Amino acid sequence: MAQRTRYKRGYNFAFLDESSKKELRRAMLKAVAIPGYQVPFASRELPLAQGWGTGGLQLTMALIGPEDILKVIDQGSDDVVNAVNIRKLLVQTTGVATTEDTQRATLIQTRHRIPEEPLCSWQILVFQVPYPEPLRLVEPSEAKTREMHAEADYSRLWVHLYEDIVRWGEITIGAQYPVMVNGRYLMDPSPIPRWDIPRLHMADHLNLFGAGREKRIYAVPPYTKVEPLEFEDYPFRVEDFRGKSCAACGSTSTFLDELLEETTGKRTYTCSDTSYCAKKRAARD
Amino acid sequence: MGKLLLVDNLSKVFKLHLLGGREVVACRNISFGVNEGEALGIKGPSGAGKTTILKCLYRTYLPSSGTAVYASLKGEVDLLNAPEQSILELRRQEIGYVAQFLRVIPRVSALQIVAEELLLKGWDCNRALAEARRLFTHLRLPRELWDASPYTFSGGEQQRVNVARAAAKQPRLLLLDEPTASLDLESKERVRELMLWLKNAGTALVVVSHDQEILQQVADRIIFLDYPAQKQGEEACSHVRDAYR
Amino acid sequence: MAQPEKEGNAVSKEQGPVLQVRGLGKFYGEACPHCINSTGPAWESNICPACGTIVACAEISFALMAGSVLGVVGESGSGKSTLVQCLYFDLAPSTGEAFLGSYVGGKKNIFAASAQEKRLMRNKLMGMVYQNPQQGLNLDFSAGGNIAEKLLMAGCFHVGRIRARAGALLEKTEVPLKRLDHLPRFFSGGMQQRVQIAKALANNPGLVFLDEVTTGLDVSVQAKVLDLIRSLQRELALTIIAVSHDLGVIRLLTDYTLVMKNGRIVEQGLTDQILSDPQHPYTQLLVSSLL
Repeated sequence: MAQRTRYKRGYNFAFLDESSKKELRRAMLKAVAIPGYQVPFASRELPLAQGWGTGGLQLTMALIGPEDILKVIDQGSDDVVNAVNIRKLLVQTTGVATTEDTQRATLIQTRHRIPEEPLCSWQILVFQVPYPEPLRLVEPSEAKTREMHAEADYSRLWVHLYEDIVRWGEITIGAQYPVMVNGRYLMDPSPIPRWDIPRLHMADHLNLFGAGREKRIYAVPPYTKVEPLEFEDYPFRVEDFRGKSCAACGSTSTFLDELLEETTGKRTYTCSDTSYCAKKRAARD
Repeated sequence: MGKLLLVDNLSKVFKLHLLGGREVVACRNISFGVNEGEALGIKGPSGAGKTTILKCLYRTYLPSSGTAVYASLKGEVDLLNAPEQSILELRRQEIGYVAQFLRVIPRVSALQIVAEELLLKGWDCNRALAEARRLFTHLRLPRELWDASPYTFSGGEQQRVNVARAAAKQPRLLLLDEPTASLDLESKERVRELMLWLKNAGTALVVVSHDQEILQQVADRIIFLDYPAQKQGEEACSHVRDAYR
Repeated sequence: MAQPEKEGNAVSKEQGPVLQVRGLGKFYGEACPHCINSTGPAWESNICPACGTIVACAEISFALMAGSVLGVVGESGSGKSTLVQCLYFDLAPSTGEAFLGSYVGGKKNIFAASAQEKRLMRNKLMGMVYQNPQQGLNLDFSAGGNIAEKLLMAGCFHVGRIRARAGALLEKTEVPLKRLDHLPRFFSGGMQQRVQIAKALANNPGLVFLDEVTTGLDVSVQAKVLDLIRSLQRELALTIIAVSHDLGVIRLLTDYTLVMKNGRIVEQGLTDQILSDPQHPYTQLLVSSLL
């Protein structure tokens, strides 16, 4: 509150009113207490259309303090329009410092990626979630899916995976791979690539998931078991980048984006995490 | 030889609700005994209640009163009053019933019909089928019939399957209702042979029949039933036996 | 002749009953003290005249031994389907208790179990074949997937083993193996029923419910499905509760029968006794109506 002048006049700190933030914090605490469980909350109107990250944004607004150092990414990139706009809104209404360096940020809001560099226990990762319900694929009714969660009845999704294997020889889910959290709740990890799934497991940092349109908050607290659904004879696999490397930094151990040159038809690969790539290049040069 | 079955004062009254609750007495105060391995014949005019007695003992009919103490391998059981579970168990293991006519599912082969009885007794499938084949061979049932439904058989062949089915599991007590009625000589001979064979193997038989000849040949003792209104007397029957044997 | 060997008898191995039901009842409505005394066969009605509550079934008690087949017969609205649906946890009963020999040694009332325990019992200890395959099968899953659902819930997470078991079950229920990965939506009614039976047997359940399984099938298909159930029962020594309005089905499949009318058991006994010497006026009428 001391540095009131650092953000836009006429708005409360971090845009939302304090009682809304309180409700969000209560929901987050409940989410942390029951890992993987979807806590309903009253999603607020924001100067951002639903579907553009309003869930994640509300969590960030309720969490952020004047001393936080903020990083916002979209698919691993700090410079994409969605990330830029969210960062601008937050800076205008809080005046906090921002960074592209994963290791410096205290609070990271992300869409569809987990930064390559490992996070520490003092960092919080906030995910933007389009569809929080992993069972929606097999059950259209919300009342039914809640019952299924309550009874830990995940057979239908398992059958779906079985049928996938029967039909295609493997599980065809790319991003948004369903995971069991703490051996109890099935969770949609948001559309992160499979590459990122193992990095949720027993992580040092807190993961918070916000779905604004669907009005759900859930969490993976630090040091929590996160296990992708897999069959004994069809184990979970991450994306295969063997023999490929980043055209910019040469990395062979990161999640790569494929680029197709329209004129030549040549395929090149670059790191999806742009700030990590830049860091590596700087270190190399 | 010990007593296998002691029937005391068996009565059966049918109450016909569809006819305004009219009561029909089928048999009244029937008493007789059967020793282990003994063959008892029951004769009497139609409507005297011969079949009713067998059905009451097998519990296809619910007896109205009386007791029938049967010395099962697991102890004494009153067949007329025992819980249904023990009756089912006895039917599987110890007591057989041959109805007057073979009544089976039309789609099941003769061989399976016989083998099924052994399956129920706990035999495995192959052994049960082998045993059924052995029985059919002995009964001289034409081989081409084995895999067909008995519904396509002649009356005599059907009755052979009928007796074979009950005989397969070698019950300790076999109740037979007119086993030779309307059979040709050859079939009758086969059925008679089988009954004697069972008897020799230790099965006690209770045979209801009109057929004086078969009763004479098979039964050790014959009792005579009169209409249920009248008295039933075993002494008289003993005389019958004495007269013929 | 049979050798007078001592055979290990398949029956009577287990001491207690597989299932014991006491005072089961299902009411639709607020229920008042008059409901029980003023409904039932004597009143020719299962609607309470005092409060309008529908007494779908009441005062149902029976025991079921291992390896036996229990028939439940009665006309539409007699409460027979309600009875099995309560036992399979499709419906919550209003009164009564039931004990499953395979659940806590038959010492705990299964209706008092948690939803999760009930689901476990349904998946591991019971099997159900509904009259309508749409109720028992997910028509958007393949035949194999439907069977897989039961196996997955019982903790088998190995695709190879699931497929081997599903294949064996389909073979046993006489469904061509090449239909393993086809959708039952496009199967004939008889074949859908076979897949349902395969699914019901997936985990070797100790108790199988058959709810009007042959109703709605062609006569010839009916016969085949009944033959299949009979031979499976013999082979696997299944314990079955078969609900049917058809005395022919009851005669073919069962050895003990409950006769229900207006939500009550009016008579129970050995099936051949019920058919040859029915005691209750209603049963006599029923048997005399047999074609």
